[in-house]
Amino acid sequence: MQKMMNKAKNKKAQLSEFLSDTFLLIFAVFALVVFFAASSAFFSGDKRGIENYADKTGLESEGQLSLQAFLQKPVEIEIDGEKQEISEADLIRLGRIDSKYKDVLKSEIKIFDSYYDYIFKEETQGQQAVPDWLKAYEGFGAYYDYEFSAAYFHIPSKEPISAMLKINGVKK
Amino acid sequence: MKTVKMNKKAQAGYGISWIYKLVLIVAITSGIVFTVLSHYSKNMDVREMESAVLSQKLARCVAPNGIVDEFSDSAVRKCIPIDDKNIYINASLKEDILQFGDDYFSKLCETMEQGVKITKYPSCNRFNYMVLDRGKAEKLVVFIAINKADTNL
Repeated sequence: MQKMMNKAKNKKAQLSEFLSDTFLLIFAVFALVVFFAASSAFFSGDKRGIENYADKTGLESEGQLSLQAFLQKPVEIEIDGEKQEISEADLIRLGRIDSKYKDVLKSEIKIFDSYYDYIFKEETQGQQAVPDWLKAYEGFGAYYDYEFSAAYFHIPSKEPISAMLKINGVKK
Repeated sequence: MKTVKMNKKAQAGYGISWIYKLVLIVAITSGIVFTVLSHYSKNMDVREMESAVLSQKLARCVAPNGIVDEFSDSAVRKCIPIDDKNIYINASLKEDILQFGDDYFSKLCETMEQGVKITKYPSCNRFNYMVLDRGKAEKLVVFIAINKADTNL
C-alpha cells in the first residue's frame, strides 16, 4: 500500500515538474515574441529617422551659409540724401532704429525666393533670452537654433537682435 | 553506509527532463540572439546623410563665412577626401562647374528621375547655397550622387 502511494506521489511530482517547465516554456516564448515585437517597433523608425536627420542636416547647412552670406551682402541705400553701401546686417540694425529701412529690407529678403521655401525673421531679444552659445558667436556667423539658422548681433543702444532663416525646402 | 539508488525509470525521467530544460535554454538564448542580430545586422542607408555632410564641407571650403574664396578643383580636393570610385560631385557657381568622381552615377540618377527602378540605386541629392562672389549674391549648387549600394542597401 505504502509502495503504491509513493509511486502515485512520484508521478504527481513528475507531472508538476513537467507542467511547471511547460508553463515556463510558454512564458518564455511569449516573452520572446513580446521582446521581438517591441524591439521591432522601437527600431522601425530608424530609417525614417536617418532620412529626417539627413534632411535637417542638409537644410541646416544651407541655411547657415546662406544667412551668413546674406548678412554680409552689400546693399545701397540713401542715408540723409547720400547713397551709401552697407551690409544687410547693418540694414537690419537701421530698420530697428528707423522703420523706413524696413521696406528696403523686405525687398532684399526676397532674394531667397529663388533659392528656398523659407521663413525669415528678425527678433529683438532680451539679454536673458539669448542663449550663451549664440552669444559666443556674436557677429555674422549663422548658427542653428532649434529650427532656424540664426545670427545674433547688437544694435547700438538697443537690445541685441537675432536674424533667423528657416528653410522648409530647397527650390531645384 | 546506506546509498540511495534511483531506479532506472526515474533515471530516464530525470534525463528526459534535463533534455527538455536544455532545449528550453537553447530556444530562449537563440531567440534573444536572433532578435538582437536582426536589428544589429540591419543595413542603414546613410548616404543621404553623407551627402549633406559632404556638401556642407564643400560649400564651407569654397566659401568660408559665405564669401567665395577659391572655386577650384584643387581647393576642393584639399578640403574633402573624395572617393572617386563611389561618388560623383558636381558643383556649379555661375558658369563655372567642378566635377569629381564617376559621372556614371549622375546618369543613373537621371534615369531614376525618369521613373526607371534600379535595384542597387545611388543616392542623389542636390543642395543650394547662397554665397557672395565679389559682393554679388550667387547660387552655389552642389549635386552629389553616392553609390555604395552594397554597404547601404
